[in-house]
Parts: sequence; structure tokens; C-alpha cells
Amino acid sequence: MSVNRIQIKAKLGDKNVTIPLGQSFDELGREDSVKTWEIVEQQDAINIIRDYETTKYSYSNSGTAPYEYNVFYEFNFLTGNTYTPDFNPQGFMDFEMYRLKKSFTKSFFKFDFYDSPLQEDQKIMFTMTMPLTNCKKEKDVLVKKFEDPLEYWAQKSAGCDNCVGGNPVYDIYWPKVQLGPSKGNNEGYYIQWYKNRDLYSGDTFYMSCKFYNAKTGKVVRMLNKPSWNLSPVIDNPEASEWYYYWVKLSTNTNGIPKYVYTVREFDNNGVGGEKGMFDNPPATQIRFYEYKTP
Amino acid sequence: MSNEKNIRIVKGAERFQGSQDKDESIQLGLLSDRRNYLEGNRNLALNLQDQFEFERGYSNTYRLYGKIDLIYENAISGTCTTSNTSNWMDNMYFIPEHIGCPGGTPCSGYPPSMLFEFIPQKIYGPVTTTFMDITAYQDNWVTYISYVDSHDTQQDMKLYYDYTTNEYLSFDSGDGIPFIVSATTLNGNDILQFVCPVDHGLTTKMYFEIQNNNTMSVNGGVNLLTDVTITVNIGGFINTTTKQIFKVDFLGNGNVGMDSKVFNIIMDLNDGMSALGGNTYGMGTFKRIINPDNLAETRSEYYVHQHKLITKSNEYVLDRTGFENGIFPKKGRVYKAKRTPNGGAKTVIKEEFKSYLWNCDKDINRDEYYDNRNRPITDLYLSIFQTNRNGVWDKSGNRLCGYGWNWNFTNVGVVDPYVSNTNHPANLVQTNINEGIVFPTEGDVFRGAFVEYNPYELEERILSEIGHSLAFRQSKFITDGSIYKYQPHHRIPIRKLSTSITREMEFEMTPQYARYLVSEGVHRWRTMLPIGVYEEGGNGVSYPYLNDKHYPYLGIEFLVQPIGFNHSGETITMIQQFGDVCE
Repeated sequence: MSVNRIQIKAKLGDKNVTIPLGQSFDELGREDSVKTWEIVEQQDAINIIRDYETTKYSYSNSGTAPYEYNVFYEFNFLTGNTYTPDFNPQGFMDFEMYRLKKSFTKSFFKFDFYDSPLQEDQKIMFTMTMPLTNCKKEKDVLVKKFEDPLEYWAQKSAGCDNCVGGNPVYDIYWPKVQLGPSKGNNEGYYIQWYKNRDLYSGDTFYMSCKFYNAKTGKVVRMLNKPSWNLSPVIDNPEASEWYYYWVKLSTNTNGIPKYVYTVREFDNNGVGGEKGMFDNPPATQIRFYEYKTP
Repeated sequence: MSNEKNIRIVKGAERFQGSQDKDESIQLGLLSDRRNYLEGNRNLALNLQDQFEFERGYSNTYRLYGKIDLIYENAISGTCTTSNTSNWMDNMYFIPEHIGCPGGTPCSGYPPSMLFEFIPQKIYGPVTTTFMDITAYQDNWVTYISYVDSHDTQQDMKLYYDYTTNEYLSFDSGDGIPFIVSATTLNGNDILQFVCPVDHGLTTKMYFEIQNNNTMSVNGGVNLLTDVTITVNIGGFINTTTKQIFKVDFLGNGNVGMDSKVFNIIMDLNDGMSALGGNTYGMGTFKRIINPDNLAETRSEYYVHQHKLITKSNEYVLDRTGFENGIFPKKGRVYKAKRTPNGGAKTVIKEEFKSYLWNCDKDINRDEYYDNRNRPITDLYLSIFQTNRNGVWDKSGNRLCGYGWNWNFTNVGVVDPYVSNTNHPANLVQTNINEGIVFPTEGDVFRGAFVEYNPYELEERILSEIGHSLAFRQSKFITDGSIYKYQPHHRIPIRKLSTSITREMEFEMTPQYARYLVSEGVHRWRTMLPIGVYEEGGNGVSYPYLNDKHYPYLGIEFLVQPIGFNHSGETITMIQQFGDVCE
């Protein structure tokens, strides 16, 4: 057999065979892109990151000392066709308010905040409640002997130092409220809402009010001005005109407080003047009126 | 592969008759970790836990919050000199309690608890400004978030040997740890005994170097120890050598708990006294050394942290805690009308230990900050400063507080002159006594802790936290000169460095804060532990993660401590111990 003998003498050391591999990749970055796409899809599928962090918004007030940043409310109820800031028309007797009966302390005002004043497409965004004990206890009334004989005779027997015309008196609550950031009167003062606007971009809300009467079990709707039923001229009320105050949240980057809200009048003519800054004149308060059923 | 055998390669057609040539192939195994890109055929198992871990590890944004428990001892009494109808007088807790102060100004007493509170209920001090609910949370204190941005090796410091003889050591922070040294005999051994006001950090295997720098000086009769000359008699031949570097021979002085403060070297008493100028005591500073043959890379550095504020004064929310009572009982008194100078009955609370919830309003991105060693930050700080809106505290010039370190606030019946706001004012500016301080803002820098850093160990050690001093305004409230001290900076760990050191030869494989050790030819660093990963000994951090943010919590006991002349050591020790236990 004729063969071509090739002899390779092995040497110490590795042998290398160089194999040229021609490559023409066109997937530059595609793998990375797919990876990114994966993450995005994964994120959307199982865990959308949203910032639910809230903070407290203080009332922004241009009032004067010592009432800066205090907000003033007044609630009026009907006695016949007359509005008065008084709880008596709602069935509360003086001694029930003085002695903090549960029918009184369990009653409350509820504020609803909507994203729109138009009832057909509005959504309620959040609510706040305010207990009646937030009201001022400064209305002097005569102690009625047959309503509260204990107090009547207690004062009489003690010398009747605080009597008026020989009749004992005491202070009861009336539906006027002053809220501030200080301890004791801040329930219903702060609005808790998102810090940033990623989750909900709106910063304007429309505030309505209802009174929940624990004595009668009734809910009384409140209006932002005296009821149209008292005036025979108006007979076609629109919700957007009668029910709301305009509330705007804003951020004061360098100021204190940083997160604030303002309250303004609102009706069909749009947004009006600022409300809630002062106790006096009364027109500067945030005032609500009992809705009289037509 | 190598071998010693002959290998014959025979062409196919020549192997046997009739055989043919054929192609040979070599199978090459090419490994790849890429997945094929097949559109429409890509599957991924979704796992909420994995997703949570991924997002948590990816997020670098922090929202800080916590609780402040206020603890103080309303112990400094004085004489109120304001008018009988002033706010300051009206809120004074008169002593003796059963007499009150019917005679009118001046009246002796204590300030009300509102002096210390974070949200006072009214104006109680000698100012005439109007109280505002909305800003009351900044009437006494203001809080910020800060981080250690740099450090200062030239901070002047002072350690007193004796306040009555005015003997002290002046030095810079870069000079090392101060000590008081004495040449003495213990258990039959002549020794030099070094007593430090902070933990020395030495073991008996370590070395230290006595410093001799022109930034150090002494005052009074005390001598400065800069080196020690050792005299050895070898067969009548006297050999002397001057040394600065010594190995620690033993620790402590026989008292419990003093091993961390006292170290000793054994040497001839005459040599020791000679080094102290013939005295038996002296002062100086030293630096800790790991390896005396490699001073450059194993000698500790010493400096003072410089904190930079990263929030503004309005970027936090502070609220009272509901339903939480303080650890100590509330103390107050009703004064009848006949016991007050203005004829009005009043109730004064002297001590009440309230708690507060704080909440930083700014999202802090950790990626934006690097610490003084060029590492990504591992700690943020809750920085608290006095605001003095009630005008109770003295401002010297335009500066409100003084500052000092632990040895400047010792309870020895003397107020260290170093900490007065005249001698060493903190960076708190108050131009008008009735308006409180000008609030610091983002970017402002404040001194912090006195720290040791060892380049071989690659870690910092806190020697002493800084304290701020508050002195009463003597024109309104005459006291014996006693002061209050508080700690302004409180650490919030957000990441931890590993307890072990990582080594790497290749520069490209190291983080930017790795240090190159010339003697070993390697880059070294401490790895930053992931969140939720703990090493032995509990080294690590974990905190809630939601809203794509981390929520580390810091609860502190904010201690306002009286330092001064007439306070019983027992009482002050009690409150110190309390603070130590809770920290």
C-alpha cells in the first residue's frame, strides 16, 4: 500500500487550530430591548407602581392675627321661613346640648368633595366629617326650669352669680365653627390628599355639606345660599349653582405651610370670592343653609 | 493537550484499496447564554415576591419618618425679671411652690415645660410676638435631613485637665485622640497610663503613635507629651532612644468599664516623668496604628464630620402622638390668684414628656449623594436645631448655640468655657432676639461627630457625637450660668457596609470608592449590603418599601440635658444612663 506518510512529532504544549467563523449579526441591542420590554410588560401585568402617599393640606388664609390659617363656618337652619344659626330647629333642646346628650354628640356635618359640580358626571373623591362638638359653645341661654331643673336649682341655690334678670343661664353650642391647626379644634380642618398629581391630576374639588341628625335620624341637605323655595321667582334650581363651594389644593414650595387649600364661592357664574377667612363680617364665613323641600 | 506519541494521518483513499477520500469534520462546542429571539414565543414566569425584590433593589428613593420622644430635666431655676404681666412671668413655675410669687418681679422659679416641647401651645417667653398655630411647631425646634458631605481635620478642640487651674490641651481634630497621661506605678510596674475622654479603640495587639504637631499646645502647668526618651544601661554603656510609637501593654485601670478609656505602657518611671517635664502628669494626642511597619497605610485619620442639609425648613411635618404618655410622670401645679404677681390663678406644667411624629416631606434620591469618603451614602441624619422664637436663650453676637463634644459636657460642676456661643458658635444665626433664628436652608453646613477613620480597616468609628449648648438670656432670667445640651444630629442607617473587606486586583472590577493598598497591591473595599440582607451580628438594614419608595424609620429619645453648677451628680447620671440605655 502506497501511503503518504505524514509524521507529526508531538511537542510539549497545546496545539491550536484557528477556525475563522464569519459572523454578520444584526441584533445589536435587540436583546437589551427585549429585556426592557419584558420588564415593562411585567410591571404592567402584576405591579403597577403608583404613589399613594398623602399629606395634610392646611387652610390657606389671608386673615389677620390671631386667626391666620383658621377657617370659619356657619350653618343655618330654618325656623318657619327664617334662617338662624341655631340647633333648636333641628329638634335639639338646650339642655341636650349643654349636657352633651348622645343624640347631639353623635350628630355631625359631612362634607363631600366632588370632581365636578355637574351631577350627571361627577364622582365623589373623598369626604370629611365634623362633629358638633367642634362648634362654639358660647350661646348664652336661660336655663329652662322644666327642661333642666337640676341646673336651674343648682345655680339658684349657689347664689345665682351668673343669672340674668334673676334667671340662671348657661352656654350651649350653636352651629358656628372655627377650626385651626392647633390641638383641640382641628378635626375636619386638614384635608388629606395626595402629595403629587400622578395618580389624580385634578386639584380642584366641589364641596357640598349634609347634616346627619342623630336625634331624628334624618339627613339634611345644605345649600350654599338661602333656599330658592323661599323666593317664588326661582323655580328651576341647578345643583351646580346651589350646593357647592370651590376648593383648590396647592403647593407652596417655599412657604409654611407647604400644602394648602383655599375655599371660594361657586355658582353658575363661576368661582367667586374667597370664603372662610374671618368670623366677622359674617359674609366672609363658609355658610351653609338648610335645604327646604319644595 | 500534549503527548509523546507519533500520530499518523492517512488520507482516506490511501487507507486500503478501494477506499475513497471523504470529508472529515470537527465538532466545536460553542457555549452561549443568550436566548433565541423568537417573536411571539417568549415566556416569563411572573412571581410577585421576585418582582417586589427586583423593584425594591432598583429603587433609590427614600421617605424618612419616625418618632421623637422628648426627655429632659427641667432643672435650672432662676430669677424672672420681666414685668408681672409678661408672658414669661405668667408661665413661670414659681418656687417655693407653696408661696408662689405674690410680691411680683423678680420671681424665682423654673420655666414651663413648653420651653422644651416641639409644639408649644402659646408664646411663653419674654418676646411680644403673636402666637400662630400653624407655625408653632417651629417655635422651639426645627428639623432637617442631612448627610455627611465632607470632613474637617482642622477643627480646633480643647480638653481641660483642671478647670480651676485653667490647665488644658488645645489641639486640632486631625491630631488624633486626646489623653491625659500619668507616670505611675501599678502592681509593681512602672507605667505610663493614658486616660482618654472617648473610646480609644486599641487592643493589646495594637500600636499607637504619640503626636507632635505644631497645632497642639497646653496651658497652665500641664505638660505636653510629644515623645518618650528611653534610657537603657547595657553593661555600663548608656543608650538612649526617643520613641513616639509604642505597643499597648495592657488596658484599664482596675475600674469596671474603663478598659475602653484607659491604656498603659510599661516603662521606667524616670523615663516617663522625664517625658512629662519632671511632672507625673501631662496631656497629648495619639493616633491608632495597625502595623508600625506600614504607617502610611495603617495609621488612623481623625476629623470632624461636616453635615450638609438636603431639605428646607418647610419640608417636614410634625404632629403630636395620640394616646402616648411619657416615661416619667407629668409634673405641674395650680397657683391660686393670691400666689401670682398679676393676681390671676394659673396652672403651670413643669415637666411633661410628650412624643411627636415626624415625617420628611422630600423624596431623597440616594444616588445624588456621596459621603466624605466618596462612597454612596449609607447614613442620613435627622438634624434638629433650636429656633428660639420665644427669646429665652442667649444669643452672642448673632449666633444662638455653642458646640462641643462629650468631654466638653461633663458633669463636674463647671460649664466648659469652650462650649459658649461666644467662643465656639454653631452655624445658627439669630439677628433679632424677638424673631428666632434665620432658618438654615438646603446646602448649609453644620459640624458633626468627631470620628476616626482607619485606611486599612476601611471604616469610620464615631468617637463622640457633637452637642449644642443653650444658655439662658440673663437679662430676662438670671441663673447660675448652667446650660442645657442637646445632640443635633441623629443617624438614620439606610444601607450598611459589609463587616468583611473585598479584594480585587483589577481596577475595572472595583467600585469607585475602593482604596488601593500599595503594600499588598490590591484594591480593597467594603461591599454595600443589599436591603434585607444581614450579616452575622445583625449588620444590615431592612425597612418598608411601597409607593416605589423606601421608608426607613427613626425613633429617637431627644435628650435635653442640664449641665452646670448646682445639679446633683446623681440626678444627671441617672438621666445620662437612661439616654445610653435607650440609644
